[in-house]
Amino acid sequence: MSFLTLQNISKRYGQFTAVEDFNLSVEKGEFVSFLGPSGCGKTTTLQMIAGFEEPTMGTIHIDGNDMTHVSPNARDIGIVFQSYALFPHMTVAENVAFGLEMRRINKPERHQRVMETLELVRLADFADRFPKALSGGQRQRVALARAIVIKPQLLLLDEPLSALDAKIRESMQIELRHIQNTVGVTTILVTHDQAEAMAMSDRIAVMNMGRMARLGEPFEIYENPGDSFTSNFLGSTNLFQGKVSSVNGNEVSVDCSGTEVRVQGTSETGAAVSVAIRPEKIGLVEPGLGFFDAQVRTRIFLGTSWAYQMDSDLGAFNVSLQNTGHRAAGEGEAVGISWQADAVGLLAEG
Amino acid sequence: MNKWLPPYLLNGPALVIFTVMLVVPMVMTLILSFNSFDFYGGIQADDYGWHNYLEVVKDSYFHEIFARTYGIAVAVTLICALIGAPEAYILNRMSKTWRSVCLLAILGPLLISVIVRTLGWALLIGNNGVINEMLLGIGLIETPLKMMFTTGGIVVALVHVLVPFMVLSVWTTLQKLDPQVESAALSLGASHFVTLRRVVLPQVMPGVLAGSLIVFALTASAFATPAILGGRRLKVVATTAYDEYLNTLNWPLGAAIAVILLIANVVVVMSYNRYVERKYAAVFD
Repeated sequence: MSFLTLQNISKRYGQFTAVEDFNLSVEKGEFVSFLGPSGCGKTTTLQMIAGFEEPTMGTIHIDGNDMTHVSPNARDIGIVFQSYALFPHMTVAENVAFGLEMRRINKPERHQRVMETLELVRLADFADRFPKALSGGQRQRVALARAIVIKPQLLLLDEPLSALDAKIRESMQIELRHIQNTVGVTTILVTHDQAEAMAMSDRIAVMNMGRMARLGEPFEIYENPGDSFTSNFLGSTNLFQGKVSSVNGNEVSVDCSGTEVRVQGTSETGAAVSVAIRPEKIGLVEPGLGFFDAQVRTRIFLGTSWAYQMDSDLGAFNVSLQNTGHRAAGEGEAVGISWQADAVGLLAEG
Repeated sequence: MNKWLPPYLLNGPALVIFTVMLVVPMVMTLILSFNSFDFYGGIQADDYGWHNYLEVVKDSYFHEIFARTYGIAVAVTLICALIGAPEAYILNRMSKTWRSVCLLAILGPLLISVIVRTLGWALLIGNNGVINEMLLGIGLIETPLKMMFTTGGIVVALVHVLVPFMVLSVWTTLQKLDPQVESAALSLGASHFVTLRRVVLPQVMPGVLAGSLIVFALTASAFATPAILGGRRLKVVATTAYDEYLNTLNWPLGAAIAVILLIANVVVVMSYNRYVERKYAAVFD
């Protein structure tokens, strides 16, 4: 049995279903993210693991023990809250020591572990400050230190970086991942930020409307999103709607507004499908040499890349080209569109 | 036109009212308190001195009255904190509908005239009052309990009136409390009781202390409730000043008592406030 197992978890509030038939197994030491838009049930699921909400149905096991109805203070779980939820009337050291005090750990050991953990989050010099006197990033690290100092079986992170600005967020992602690796604690992260989920997790559970839409390693689900929700939520995707015109073994021909696009996959002739391709996987060639021609509507320079909006017979779509130091096609120019055969995916409609 | 003039002109009416209604009577009371008094000749116009103050400071009769007043004030403040703080916490966790109902019940006493409310208490706790009649009726006691004209009766009635101030004050700080902080304490292994004592209570302490300040000041200068429930003999400072003015007709002595009460209250309230501010400045915004 896995370290953390959620079996058929459902949560209903009256008529409203927040989480529906959720199943997940997490291995010891693994870092799993719940990714989804707000209201998808990811926070509710986390609350149920933490014990603040009771599932309407299903069971939660941690390390083989049934924890479904155990109260939160007996679960041995470290939580970093979205608002950090530091105790404002205690110093940084007192905040971190609180969990150890509750575990009746004697003073010398308590002090040693608090200082070790503050060392780990690089806040040892701030031990005697009050949270009020810290920056957002520092508060976040105190919250993390407070959660991991108790050596919890499980670490839950509820949108821990959402209150920070972009630069600090990126460096905190790396630091958080590094600390999680050092401590080796099994971790669940809740986030609506796909970049954050991909940067930090071993596996991602994409959630939508209370259900798990997709579960897998970041690279795997980015490349094979499986449905249009996941493929749009993880990065951006161009979708061309069409009808399957012929099936030839593992290759499907799709008629998209008169243009034939060949995709690897399985389908039936006549089925309504979408052809999905990520903006960064499209290449530009001379007009007439690609699969079809398009016209550049807008071109935006982003430093590392060029972002294009194209118009074509298949509809509007986006292209992202890496900046290689050469000037790329300008606005109004006609270009040919091409891609590697395995870059396009086939998504069933509806 | 001078750019400083309009603000002064706009403040003018309020300034006039404050001067006429507050500053002038205060100054007159202060002057009066230094006048001497003669039982046959009344107030001696040009005879000023400290003798009224000396009389209050020396006479053990006044010591007892001041001690009683501040004893009542401390007791009422403590009881209000003990009742009001938990009340506010419970109120804060209630559903919206129940909260409005309970809030109305708590604020109710403030909507009723202080005289009517105090007479209500007199009906309840008098020797022939509802409580005594009931206890006699069911045979729990044989002679009526003495509750009217006791400090206990005054304290109970004042707590009833003043507890809303404590509840509102604590409630305001509770609303600033991050609800996730309680969850954080629970997740770290604290019981509900420890969470309340170590995490919630210290954070609402500023509210409790602010509420205490209001309750203390209002109790120390309370007049109507002690006057009705304490009767003529169980006096507090405010009723003593009243009696000196209207019964003994010794206005200067009454004025001196009133001035001492005012100064004592200002000193207590200000030093308390400074203590609270110093204690929490480092922690809270």
